[in-house]
Amino acid sequence: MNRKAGARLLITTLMAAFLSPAAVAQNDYRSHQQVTSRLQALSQQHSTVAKLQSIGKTDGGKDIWVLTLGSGDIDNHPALVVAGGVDGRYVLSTELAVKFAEGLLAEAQTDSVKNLLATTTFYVLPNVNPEASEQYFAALKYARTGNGRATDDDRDGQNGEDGFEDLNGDGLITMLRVEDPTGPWKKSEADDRIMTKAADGERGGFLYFSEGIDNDKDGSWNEDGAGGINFNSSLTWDFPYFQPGAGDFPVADKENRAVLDFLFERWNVFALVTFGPSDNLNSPVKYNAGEASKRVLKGMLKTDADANALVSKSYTEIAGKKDGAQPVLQGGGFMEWGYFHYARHSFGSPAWSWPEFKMPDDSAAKASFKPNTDKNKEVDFLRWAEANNHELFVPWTPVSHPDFPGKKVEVGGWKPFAPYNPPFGLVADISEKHNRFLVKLASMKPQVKIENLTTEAVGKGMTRITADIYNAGTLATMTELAEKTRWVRLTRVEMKLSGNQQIVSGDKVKLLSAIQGGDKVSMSWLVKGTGSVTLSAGSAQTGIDTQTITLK
Amino acid sequence: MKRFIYTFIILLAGLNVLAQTPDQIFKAAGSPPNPKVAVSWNRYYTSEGLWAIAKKLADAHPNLVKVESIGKTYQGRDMIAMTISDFSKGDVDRKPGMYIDGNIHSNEIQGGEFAMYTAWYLAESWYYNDFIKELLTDKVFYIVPTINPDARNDYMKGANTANTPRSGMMPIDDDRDGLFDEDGFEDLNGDGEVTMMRRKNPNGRYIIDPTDPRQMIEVEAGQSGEYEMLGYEGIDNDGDGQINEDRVGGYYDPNRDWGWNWQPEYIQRGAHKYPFSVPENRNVMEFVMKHPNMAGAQSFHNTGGMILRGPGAEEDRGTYNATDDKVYDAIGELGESIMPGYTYMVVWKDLYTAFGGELDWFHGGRGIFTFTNELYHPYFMFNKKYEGGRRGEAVQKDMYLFEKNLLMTDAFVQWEEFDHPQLGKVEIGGFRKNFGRANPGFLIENDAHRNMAFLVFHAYHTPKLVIEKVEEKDLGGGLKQVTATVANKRLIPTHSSHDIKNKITRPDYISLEGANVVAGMVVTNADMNQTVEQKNTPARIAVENIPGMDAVTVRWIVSGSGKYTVTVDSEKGGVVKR
Repeated sequence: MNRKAGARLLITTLMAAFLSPAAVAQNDYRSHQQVTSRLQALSQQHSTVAKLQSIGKTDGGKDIWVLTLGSGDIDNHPALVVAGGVDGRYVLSTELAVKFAEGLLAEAQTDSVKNLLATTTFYVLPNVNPEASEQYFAALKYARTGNGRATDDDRDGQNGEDGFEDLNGDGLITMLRVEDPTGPWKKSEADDRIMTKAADGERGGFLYFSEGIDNDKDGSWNEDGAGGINFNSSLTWDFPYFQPGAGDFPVADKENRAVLDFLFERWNVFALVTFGPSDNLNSPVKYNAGEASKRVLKGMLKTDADANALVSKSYTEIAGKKDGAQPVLQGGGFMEWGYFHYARHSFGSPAWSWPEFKMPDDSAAKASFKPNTDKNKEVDFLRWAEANNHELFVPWTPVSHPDFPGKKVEVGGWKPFAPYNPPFGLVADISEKHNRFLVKLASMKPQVKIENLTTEAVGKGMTRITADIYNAGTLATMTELAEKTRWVRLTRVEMKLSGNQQIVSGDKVKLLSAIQGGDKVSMSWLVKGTGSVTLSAGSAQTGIDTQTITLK
Repeated sequence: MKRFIYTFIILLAGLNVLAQTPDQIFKAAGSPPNPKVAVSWNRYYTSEGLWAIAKKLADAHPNLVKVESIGKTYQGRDMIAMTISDFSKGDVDRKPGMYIDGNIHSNEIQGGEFAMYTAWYLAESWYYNDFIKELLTDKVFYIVPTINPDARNDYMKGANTANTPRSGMMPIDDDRDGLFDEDGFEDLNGDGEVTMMRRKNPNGRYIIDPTDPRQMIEVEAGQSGEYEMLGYEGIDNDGDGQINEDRVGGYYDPNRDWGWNWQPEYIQRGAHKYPFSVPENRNVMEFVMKHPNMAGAQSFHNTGGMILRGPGAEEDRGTYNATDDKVYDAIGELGESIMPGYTYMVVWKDLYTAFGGELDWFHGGRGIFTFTNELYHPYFMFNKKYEGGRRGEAVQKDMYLFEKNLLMTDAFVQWEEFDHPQLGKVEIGGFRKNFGRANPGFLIENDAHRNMAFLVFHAYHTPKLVIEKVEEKDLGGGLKQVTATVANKRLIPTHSSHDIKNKITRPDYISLEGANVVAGMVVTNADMNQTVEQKNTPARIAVENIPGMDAVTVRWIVSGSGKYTVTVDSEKGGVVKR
């Protein structure tokens, strides 16, 4: 080997070491197995600040992973939960959660990340319903929300008797359109591949539903397929009773229980971020006095809505503003549970939405597009996809269908996961923005500090101690809602004595309700005795500050 | 020698079971004259005590009583359920079922004995009572005498008042200071009871009742008192200035933990993490889900003489409607007539709002007609109605009289001085925990029997399906019309109207087997020959409900001839063939 070749080999080896295994060119979303391997590798490489644990297994034997990032007394550092996979159709959500951990750990040696992890804990749950999202990687792909449990989605007494069929054999469950004079659907005038509901007084001419046959001959197609319980419609807030995927009652399955049991034991959680259909980051939930004063709470309390607006502002500054965004809340959802029933700050975003198609300026190029007069979003999305060479749509092709003898039936439409997830090439940029947002949100955490600590001798062996219990963070020490629930701890201020020391005036233990960001509570004690005492203040979700005080 | 000992043990066991010889007994009406399992119904039993009775019943009546564990409690006990039916007749788990439990609130103990009395009465009466014989042929009773066994024992054996614990034994941080169960009651004077503390104080607001020195009364405005009341016996263990604020078995309410209209703790005090996050309730839920034949349910609480039904919250009014209300009213009103002192009530309207209650889940989540009885009422002291409710002044006064004249002062701890480490010289005394909520010994069996009779009436009215008529008509061309009428001879429908609306229970299937079925239909009006055809699986007609005291008619068109069978298969109504 000559020296030149040796140097080249060394460089190549270094490059490989630097880039692997994360940078083994990733060109698609990762399966549960790939995510598992990656999390295991991360926790091994960064064992001082990353701990991987399985909080439960699905019916199919898949682990529900929690990667805990942080150093020191992690149980008593304010914690941020990052959750993906609540809705199995959003495979991007798992990718963003894993990439957040990857991004942070890649910089674990920098002062800023080291300091962040020494004061903040992150619970990363990349995929809470892996049975659903795994359909993305299956031989037959369809957008699935249900877990592995057999359920009776149409409540006819039979489980899973009418699932999809891949009629054109392309491995994808898309849509069917059937020419039928009574059908309420029609082809869009802007693009005849897109189906749209006929307006009142207008004739449709098509039936339009998912690909498959009516196995149980009940007049509905594919209404009771394999699985399962939809994690994101099975939680306690505004539970959608008797709806497909909800379960017989809230929190009916092991995935939900595993996640909720884990979180109820994490007293330090101050906020959750969920990637999925629910959205209060692109547009915050507005305070509505009527909704917020109902006995069964339907709206956010005032202070908490203000916090939502503040965090949403940070989000849109980093991730970009989405025109016309509206908050999205859904019954039984995880983000919703995080606020309404877990009483923490809880934020959500799909993290990606259909990009806008820009009409070409050139008039000839423009003329090739029919006017999209009713501003059909699917038409616009399809134009964007084609302009950017993304194959997201299966062209309509005729098939013969046993339920419609003699009728024209076509299979086609959006590829199963395309409406919910960006083409993978866009993920790096989305991930980078969301990582920045999560770090920004972590910096807003509540932090209780003991400030302006003074002591003065008042004679006869007595010392007066005064201190401000100060919230140095941006967010309050607890949400306004948390003031009413014991599942969030109060800020505990304790004066610890020893020997014959004695409190003459003041509280040995004082429990404080919410302290807003930048606010303080002033306290004082009269202590008799000599030596030193210890003052501590805080709770798991604000961090606990401790000061040793020498008596005068 | 070995054989001798063995025989001796058998003899002893035999003696134990047969307390009397038959010729020594004259039968009292309505009670088992010489039960195989003798039980004293004038005392209470620990969880293990109840289960020992269950085991004896199963051993003595192997064809009528089976015992199983439905899961582990928080502290690891096996929760015992009894299944009671005539096991020699039919498939027991396909008979219309009646579920019974007691003691969900751990201090509300007599539900355990009342549920056990029911099991005992059914098994011991079967031998001579034709009504019970028929009942156990038709029905199955699932009885879980205590669904909070850990804390039942804590109530009996631990430092408690009549009101504690109401929860199970999971540790809860009641005062939100990060510590669990760190400041509970103390039995300071070591008498086995947690009673009240009072202290002499010229600025206090209480005086000793001149008519009964045991009782404290509040003075009128403008009058001076002599005592202050300092709450239940205990000390401030954690130095936060409060006494007994974070007890063992601290506050969560197992009856706010069920999966219907569940609300979190800030809306519904006592709610735990999520529905069925209390392990004992989870066991019950799983048991209920495994037995879709349950058509009626009864739970026992105390106190106040109430026959309660849902809804628990006004927000849930739509869950109950006129059709279902009629059934509830018929059973509830019978209850009022056979249980003097008891009032039939709707929880949210007549008592208070409770989200996530057990009865709401049974009705709303499973479509099961369900009552909760609040056992025992001050009325029973002197068969006297009180103005101002069961906590009123008149009741308080009479409790002292009753305790003195009928319980021979057995239920009161006399006031005595005690040196309290934080409060100085105090006096400790008051009613024992077994008085006020639990039936006094001599009033247990009477109340248990009446409540048993009430739930037996309820169980009797779970569906009883009968294939009343099967008629044939020749249509010519080798086709025949077969029309079957299926009646429900009891009050309770196979599907409550809430069940029909939400399709909780699968439809009832009426099938024709052994014939070549060409078409099948539900007959909506027999006189006008109006029918609705079922195109798919015509041999097995699905009907959404077989209403109480009413019938449904189905029809098949068959070709060919030969014998056939009509089968009715209903989850809550059972299986009948003809």
